[in-house]
Parts: sequence; structure tokens; C-alpha cells
Amino acid sequence: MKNQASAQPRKRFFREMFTRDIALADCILDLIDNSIDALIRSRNLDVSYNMLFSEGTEKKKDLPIIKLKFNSRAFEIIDTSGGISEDTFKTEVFSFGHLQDVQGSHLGAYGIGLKRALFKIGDHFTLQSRSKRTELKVDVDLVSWCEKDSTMDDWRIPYTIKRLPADVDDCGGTTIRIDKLHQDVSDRFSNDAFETELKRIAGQTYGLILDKYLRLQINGELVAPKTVSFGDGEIKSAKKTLQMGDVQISLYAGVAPRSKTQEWTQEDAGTTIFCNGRVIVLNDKTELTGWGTSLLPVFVPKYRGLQSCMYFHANNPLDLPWSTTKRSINRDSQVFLRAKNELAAISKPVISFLNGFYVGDEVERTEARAVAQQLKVTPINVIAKSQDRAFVVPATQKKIPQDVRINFLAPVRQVDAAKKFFGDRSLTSAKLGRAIFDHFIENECS
Amino acid sequence: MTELPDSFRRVDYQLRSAKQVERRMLIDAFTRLAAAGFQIPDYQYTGMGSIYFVDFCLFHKFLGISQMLSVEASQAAAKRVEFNRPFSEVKIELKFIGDVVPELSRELRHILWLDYDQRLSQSIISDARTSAATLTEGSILLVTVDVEAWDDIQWARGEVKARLESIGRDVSGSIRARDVSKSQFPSTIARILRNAIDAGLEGRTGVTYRPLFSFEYSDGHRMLTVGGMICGRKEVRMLNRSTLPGCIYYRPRSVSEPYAIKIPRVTRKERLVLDANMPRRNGWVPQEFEMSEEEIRCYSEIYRFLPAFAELML
Repeated sequence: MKNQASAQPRKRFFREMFTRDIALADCILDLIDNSIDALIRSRNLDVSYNMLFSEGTEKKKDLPIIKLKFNSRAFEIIDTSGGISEDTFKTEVFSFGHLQDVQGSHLGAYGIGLKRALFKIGDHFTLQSRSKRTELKVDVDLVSWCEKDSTMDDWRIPYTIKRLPADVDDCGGTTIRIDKLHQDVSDRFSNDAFETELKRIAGQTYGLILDKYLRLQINGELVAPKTVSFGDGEIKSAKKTLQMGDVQISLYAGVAPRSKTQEWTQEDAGTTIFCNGRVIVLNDKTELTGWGTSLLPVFVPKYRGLQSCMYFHANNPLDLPWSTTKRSINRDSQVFLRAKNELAAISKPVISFLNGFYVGDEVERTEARAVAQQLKVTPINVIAKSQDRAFVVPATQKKIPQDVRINFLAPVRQVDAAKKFFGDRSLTSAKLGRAIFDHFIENECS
Repeated sequence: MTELPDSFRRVDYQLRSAKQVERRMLIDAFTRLAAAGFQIPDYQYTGMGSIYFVDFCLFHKFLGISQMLSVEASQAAAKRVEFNRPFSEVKIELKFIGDVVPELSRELRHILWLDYDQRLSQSIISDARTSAATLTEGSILLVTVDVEAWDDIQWARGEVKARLESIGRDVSGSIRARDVSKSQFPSTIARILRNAIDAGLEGRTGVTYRPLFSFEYSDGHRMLTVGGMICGRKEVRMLNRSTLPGCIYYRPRSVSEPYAIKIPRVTRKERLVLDANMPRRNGWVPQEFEMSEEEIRCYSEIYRFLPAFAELML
């Protein structure tokens, strides 16, 4: 017999290590993703690329609902998404990773979301699923389950199965309850700020899905979707579509809608990335999406009027450029690298427009402000229906500014020397700057 | 009088001998590419024609290109640019050229010449990158920048290096102190532009950039033009069949020294004697007048491309 080393997985690793790189809120979003995917399968929802344009098909009050409830003692997620078949339950639900490629425009990609959430949140869980007149249930104490770790047989989880009467009218669904919460999780769940933040993140992440295909309720309150919108009107946002292998990409660049006080806010600006309808990165202004690199300038306040989006869709979620946490991007993905370059290309006219919008960095030019004030809030799914087009600005607004403001700091010693050069120590900084500039232009540039 | 942009006033574009040699070498190159199967007359030429449109006249007349777009950033002389449109087929856009690039048709192949008369900047690098990202396979990208060394503004080499790194950012590569010496500066700029083009090709599976040109010349300021083709496999095979590799100006590697365009000073009378003995054979030298070996060698390299300027008594 050949010498062989063990490559056996250790439960301790999964319990202690692979939960470290994901935030608590992101784990909860993974559980919501699973409920949404179950709904996609059971109702055969079309959440393909067309979801970007869709208004949904049912009245809001008739939509299925996913409920999350949590407090310092327990966490529960209840859906009516059709439940899990016995076959899937036996082979897929508790495995780490999928046996074969997932197909069908799903949000779940890697086969680890449920397990990671269970380990992250508490030491005990029950999972009950009803589907097609079958109820499946598991009840696991994770501490004692993790203690048995000698052979692969210890990696099995016992479940009970109950046949339901034929007359039970139930669309099926899954309930997961986690208790014996970890202390840090219990503290977070007791914190109002966490609940508020989770509702905000969920509203943004599922902005294209909520109130169109399903509703989400967190601790009794329905989560309102936050859609990505552009300011459109006389100004038209740019759109570009591409296909890379099996991934459909659509790119958008334009100006952001103005707030009620007729301003652009830095928070709502930047680049947003969707994968299969789920927001992965929101309002990014960093090198991740090209800002401050050879592609785009550093994101400074005058660019707070810029809104851009990448929308990726694939039948196989593994083709998408998201990371395992689904809250970031795999920066090496060829699909993402190409989209980043193409999005920067169509964003350039928007940057030129914003460069000409201000006197210096802050003061809006009068004619530019007038154009911005007539912008209408236009959700991304309306822009998505247009053909590919370039960013368009009305002709009167294309003027390149004739003046710019120059500001800089200079050491006092050098400022005094300059004043001495001009023979007037009483010069103000502004007048000195003007004198220096005029002297330079006259002697070096004309 | 309408105030013209500086670039219009600083250089009379019609009388730049070295630039004209560069243009004619490019025409020679594009003619060879046409012979290798590239449908050059069907390409769109996009350039920065200013009010002179010299490239447009040459490419239309000598290459048969009829789809042309001239881009001018300055609004100040819009009517003057429009007035000087040389042919009805030349479209004009008053925008920054980087803003126009993503709109170039993906149904056509292009010759795109980012002919800046400025020093390297973040926006020039960005334009090179986004051009590489969006130009169709078979398209030719040219970038011209001012490579006068920056010691005219009293910057120490360390500062120039730091400034270049901050302009180049993720595509600056590692810049050593000797890379910003006068002799190495153009090669360093060429390398940064090549890095930007490669970054623009990220994600374009099966597409590569084949450098073809690297010209250095001086018409008052030291200038560099780098250029090449965005290629799929088919274009690489076609390039390998072309006669371009035999040309003296051909630069297939970005790290090579640029081809330095030097204009020998010769009179009209001397040119007649010299041309009658070109191509040069057996180390021929003129007997009628003195001329150094270097000058004759230089003339023999570029005599086919050298313009002759004359005054027309109209």
C-alpha cells in the first residue's frame, strides 16, 4: 500500500475559520438568497437578464413574503418559497459546495451560504422544510456534532421525514431557527442600529427584486427597496451592452438624480455592481471600480453627480465575477476587468461634463444648475429599456469653461520673498497669487 | 479676432518637416498593410485635425479613406474649424477625444490617432487605455505626446520620477532614476503607454496589441509617437505576411529605441543631385559639394518621405 497523507476536512476549521471573512449581515443575506432561489425554482420565475427591465407580475400584497425575526436569544427565517425536495435535502443542503454546476440565474453560487450562516450565528439550529406533502426536519447541536470528527461518517446529519395529508393546501416553505447564539451575535441582534443597518443593506441589495417578485419583512417591518436611479431628461445616460461567453453585461453611466434640496450627495454617487439582480457593490468610489487609477481620476466631490452601473447576468452563477461573500468582486475575473474598462470609457463624457459644471470644485455654474434642476428621477429599469447610446448633453451645456480657480498652500518664508520681489509687502495672498500668475504668463508663455 | 487655442498658434501644422516625414512613413506602412489584406480604404480615420487637417488630406488622397472624424476640444474656434473642413466626408466633433472613443463604431475598423501636443498626463494614459479597450480587432492606435525632459522647470530627477509615478499610477511600472534622464525619457514614456494599452486589453480574450511604430522627432519640442494594431489571431497572421518588417521605421517591440526622424538640411539644388543617386549604392557620396557620411546616411533613409516646401506665387 502506498504511503498516504490525510486530506480529511476538519469540522473545527469550518466552525472557527471559514466564518471569519464574512460579516454577520452578509451571512443573513446568504440565507435570504437561498429563499429567493427556492422561489425562483418553485415558481419558475424569470429572473434572467429581463429582470432588469421588469416591473414584476403580481400586485404587491399578493407577493410571497420572507420573514426574518431575531433578538438576543434566537434568529429565525421563514419563507413560503416551495420548500426543499427530499433528494436535494439528502445530497445538497448540508454539503459544502455543489455536486454539479447550478443552473438557472440563481443568487446562490458556491454551496456554502447556509452552512456558513449556521456556524456564524449560533450553536444550535433546527431546519424544517415542507414541500409536496413531505415535511423534513433536522435538529442539530453544533457543539456536539463538531466533537465527533474521526471519519467521514461523522459528517452526516440525521433527519426526520413526515408525510403530510393530501388535503393540506400549502405552497411549501422552509423555516430555519438558530439559537444558543454566540455572544457577539446576541449583542448585535439586541442593538437597534444593527437592525436598521440590516434593513438598509437588504433594501439596497435586493432593490431590483423586492416588491416586484417578493416582499421581505425584518422584525415585523417590511423592507422598502432602494432602486438605483439616474437623472434623465434633456441629459441622457449612456448604455452599453456586451456578451462575454455566457455572461450578459450591461453598463450604464450618467448623472445621479438630484435630492429634494437640489443637490447631489456623495453617498449616492459612484459605481454600483449587480450580479443576477443582486447588488454586490454599492456606490463605489475606489480603485476597485477604477477611480484613482490609470482609468479614471480620483473621485473628488465634484464627481458626486456621477452614477454608473455594471449589471452582470449568467445562468450559471459561477460565471459571475463575485467573491465568495457576494459582497465584493473577484478582481481577477476577466469579465469584470473588461467591464471595468468599458464602463470607464462610457463614463468619460460624464466626467468631462462634471468638470465643466463647477467653478473650481464647488460652485455650480448658473446654466449648468438650470439643466440639473430639470432632471427627472429615472430608475435603472427604465434606462435599461433603451438601445445602446452615448451620454448626451444638450448643446447649450457643452461649453468648456474659460476660467478656473487656482488654490494652493505655500510656506510663509517663500510668500514673503515673493512679496519682496514685487516690492509690496502689503499684498494680500489673492493679489500676490494674481501677480505671480500674470508675471509668469507674460514672461514665460507669450 | 477670435482667440485661438494655444495649440493652433504655437505650431503652424503645415510646415513641420519631421511630422510630415512621420505622416508619410505611416502612409507607407498603411499601404503595405493594405497589400497584406487589411482593407485600409474602409477604415475610419479619427484624429485631431485642428484647423489644418493635414492628416485627413493625406489619408483621404493617398489611402482612399473616406470615413473621417476630426475631434477638437476647444469651443473657442468652432466656426474656424468648421470653415476649414477639407472634404464633405470629414465629420467634426467638438469634444475631448477620449469622450468620442467609446462611440466609435464596433462595425468598423479604425485608425485612431491621439495626437496630443502635451506632456503625458493621467487623462492621456486613460485615453490610451480606453481606446485599447474599445477599438475593434484590426484597428490601429497611435499616440503622440511631448517628451521634452522636464528639467526645464527645475525639477530634480527624484521629483520627476515621483510625478511620473503619480500620473501613471497602476501602469507606471517601476521607474528608476536613470529612466527619467534626457536620453531615456522617451522610452520610459513609451513603456508607460504600452502598459496602459495592455491594461485596456484586460478581459479581451484572444486579443493582443502588436506594436508597429515608435517615432521620435523634434519640431521645436521633442515628440514621441507610439502605435500598433489591436489584433485577433487572424490579424496577427496577416501582419506576419506583410512587408512591414523590412521597413526602417518598423518597431515591433515597445522596449526598442524609437526611430529617430532627423531632417538633414539640404538645398533644393542639392536634393536633385542626391535623389538622382538614391537608393544609395556602394557608399556613394556627392562630388559636387561636401556632405558628411552621417548626413548622407540620414538622407538615404528618409528621402522617399521628405517633403519639399515651395512658395506658390498665387
